[in-house]
Amino acid sequence: MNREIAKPISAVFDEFVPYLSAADILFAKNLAKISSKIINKRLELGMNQKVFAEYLGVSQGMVSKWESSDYNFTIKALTEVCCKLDLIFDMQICEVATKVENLSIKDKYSTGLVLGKKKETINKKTQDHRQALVCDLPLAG
Amino acid sequence: MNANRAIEQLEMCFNGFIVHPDLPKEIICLIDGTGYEKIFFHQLIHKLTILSEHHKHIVQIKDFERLSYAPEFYSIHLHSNGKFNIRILFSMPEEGIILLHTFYERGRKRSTDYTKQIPIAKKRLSDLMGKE
Repeated sequence: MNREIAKPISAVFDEFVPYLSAADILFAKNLAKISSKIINKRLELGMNQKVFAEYLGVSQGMVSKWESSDYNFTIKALTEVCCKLDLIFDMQICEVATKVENLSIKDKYSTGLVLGKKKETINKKTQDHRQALVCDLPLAG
Repeated sequence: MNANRAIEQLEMCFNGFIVHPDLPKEIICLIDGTGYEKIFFHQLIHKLTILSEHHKHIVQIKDFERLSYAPEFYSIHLHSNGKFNIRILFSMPEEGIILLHTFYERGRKRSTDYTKQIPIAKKRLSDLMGKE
């Protein structure tokens, strides 16, 4: 790789700074992460959008919107989708400076949004106990 | 937090990405002054996030394409209801995901749309990889 001419991706993003607020930028990032997780789940299940939509009881058009970041979820709607997909939707709202200190390397600089699989340890519990654990997951930050 | 700080946060999600030095200006030239800068950026972040997390299976996902007649290159489709229809060509060697070239897609015959663009992408990939 010719490091003298290669540029980081921020060279592209910097061009958009005059047009965007910080909220615009981070909103795009958060919504993209949600879309990606939903796509990931669909691919894991080996479904196309049509079958996936039937599985979730929504229209294919809705799945298409979710996957193309063309849908601004309410917190309730996102929580419902996650429940159907056996995913946890958890939020982190915290100071940027302290966030870097407190989170694992993987989660550093994350959007403050965690949307992931339930942990194996949780899945091994009974259904009732699992529900309790999910409800008790602490808010980070 | 200002926009520059937000960009720093965003950049951390795309560590494996490399861009050709001509690409940033090329992108902004296509979209500047159209009034769709924010929508385009939104789509761009969406597509790059998908690409970073699903690069091994990227051709299974809508709006990503491997070029059959130049299989070392892939295309991202960025479009929004007639507002813009832009392609970004990229490659995925071991070094990472390399964004190379972008252009406005006007034609409808997809099979011939890339004929003028692939040589540019090839040249830029060679520039970056240090090959003749």
